[in-house]
Amino acid sequence: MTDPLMTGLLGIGAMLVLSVLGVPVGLAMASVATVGLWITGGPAFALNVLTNLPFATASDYSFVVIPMFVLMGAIASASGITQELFGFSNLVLRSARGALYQATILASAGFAAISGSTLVNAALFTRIALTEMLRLGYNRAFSAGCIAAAGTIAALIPPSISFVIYGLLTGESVAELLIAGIVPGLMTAGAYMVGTAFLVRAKKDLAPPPEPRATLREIGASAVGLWATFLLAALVIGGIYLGFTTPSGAGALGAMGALLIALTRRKISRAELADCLRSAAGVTAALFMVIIGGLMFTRFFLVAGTVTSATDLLLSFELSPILFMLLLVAVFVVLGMFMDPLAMQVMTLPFVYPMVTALGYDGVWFGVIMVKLVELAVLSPPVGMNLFAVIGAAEGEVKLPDIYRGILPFIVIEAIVLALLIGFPELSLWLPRQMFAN
Amino acid sequence: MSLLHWLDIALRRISYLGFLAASALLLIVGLIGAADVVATNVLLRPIPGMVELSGALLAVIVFLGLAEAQARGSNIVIDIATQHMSGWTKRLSAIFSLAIGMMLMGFIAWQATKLATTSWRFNEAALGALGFPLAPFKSVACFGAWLATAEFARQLLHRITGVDDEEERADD
Repeated sequence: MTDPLMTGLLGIGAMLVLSVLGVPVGLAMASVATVGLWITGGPAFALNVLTNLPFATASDYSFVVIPMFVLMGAIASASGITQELFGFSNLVLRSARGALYQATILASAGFAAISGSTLVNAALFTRIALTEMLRLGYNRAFSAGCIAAAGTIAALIPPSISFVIYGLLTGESVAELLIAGIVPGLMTAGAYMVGTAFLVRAKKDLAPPPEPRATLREIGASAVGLWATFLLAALVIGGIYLGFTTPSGAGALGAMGALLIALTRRKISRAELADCLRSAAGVTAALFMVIIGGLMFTRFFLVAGTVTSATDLLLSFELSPILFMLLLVAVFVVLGMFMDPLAMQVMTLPFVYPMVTALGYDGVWFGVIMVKLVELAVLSPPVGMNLFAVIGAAEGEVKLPDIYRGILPFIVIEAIVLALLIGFPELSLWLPRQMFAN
Repeated sequence: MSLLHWLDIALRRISYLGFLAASALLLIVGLIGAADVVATNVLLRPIPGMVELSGALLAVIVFLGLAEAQARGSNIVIDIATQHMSGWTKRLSAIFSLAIGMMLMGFIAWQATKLATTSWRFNEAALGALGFPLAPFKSVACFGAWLATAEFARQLLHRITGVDDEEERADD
């Protein structure tokens, strides 16, 4: 009988080698898990998992939430909701110095309530806001950094794909996780706005002088167009919070609501709808490949006894909870510099989540911390995905050194918010507890 | 036109058609899901079998989308090492990863075939208010898994014969 810890370490090593050699992450995890299950549980058990788990996972109704949230975000982006949000935010804030930075953060937080993808947010706001920022003389590096950072708010505010995947892989309530992300999401947006205001005041060359205040009539006219955003956010977040429907039902309602609104306002053509559907189907297949691989890997760790052994070993060190959490954060920050955030989440959860919960931490709270770390990962040079989303959408207007420079202040702000969320778990847990109390 | 070239085109077309079907089914899942929320909360009567039907359709969507996701390069890959490789090391690593992918997908497809065959044999029906047959859904999912295996094999063949390398050079 081999040592469970050694078996697990060999499994992780093999998975990393395969992934680094270019095997898609989901397939790398599933391949190693199949061999591992074959060795630890026997051929019949391995074949049984391979026969049943992929279809059972793909046909689980609770997983319907993933394609529905993806579709909702795709339709909302195609139907011009982002322009309306940005226009409104700019009108409200334009009398302040650095208004376009603030407008980008506010509009991105608003769009986060109907889109769960940080990459989509970053790419969309680059197209909408960056040209305007550069035309008015805003600082190129800080503008790019601001757009990339504001895009990450989508990972926290529901509908967040990251929370859904965390919940489905760990068994934590997806509804509770989605609601738990609201306060940290708003906190992040608030911290970005306060931090930006402070920096713009301290360094005058970051932004041009402010414009005259918009009239109430102008603001009112612009606000009228926002009903669609509020309605969709209310349908999804309200539906889950008030218990009218499951996250999957809320996702379906949100996706079809977005489609209905886009059709009635004549904001989407048949070809654009077909594009949205194709894009959502492609993303769904790719995400499920990773989820199936992650679940198989979790099964392998459980059967091999790695989780129990690793947890026992960790407990024997008698680390203080805060030291353990700091170590974990350090590991994730380093991983995030080189890894796709979803891959990082799926590859580490099978062994990190059981250890964290065995140490007495709340699984929902850790979900928020994990998603916050994913946010930090997509902003961290050299391979932060949001940085590349901005560069790609900027079509040559922004270079890599610019965005590396511009993102640094936002990484500092992220670290401060992360420290607050670690230090005060109630910031994440208060709202979901109210949901169940009601 | 050689047989391989003809097979290549046929496979791409079938994969794409499967993908289009998956996209259309996504809309149907959304429609019945939204209708169920409205029916449950307004009419106090949920749509019978909606949960089981949505789940079965989701499996079809996922499996039919796998081949196209691989063809479009949508699968999540860690390219930190491969992007720095050049020439034969890059080609070797691509051949290795495609071979692993083909073997695993083939294994999954083979097991899915067993699952579908058993489902037909026992006339398996969904557990719930609407006991619709599950075998057709499992069969389409199994077809999708074989399509994905064939897509990995197609790309592997291209890599081995150097077709992809020629295309990359032409793009450069």
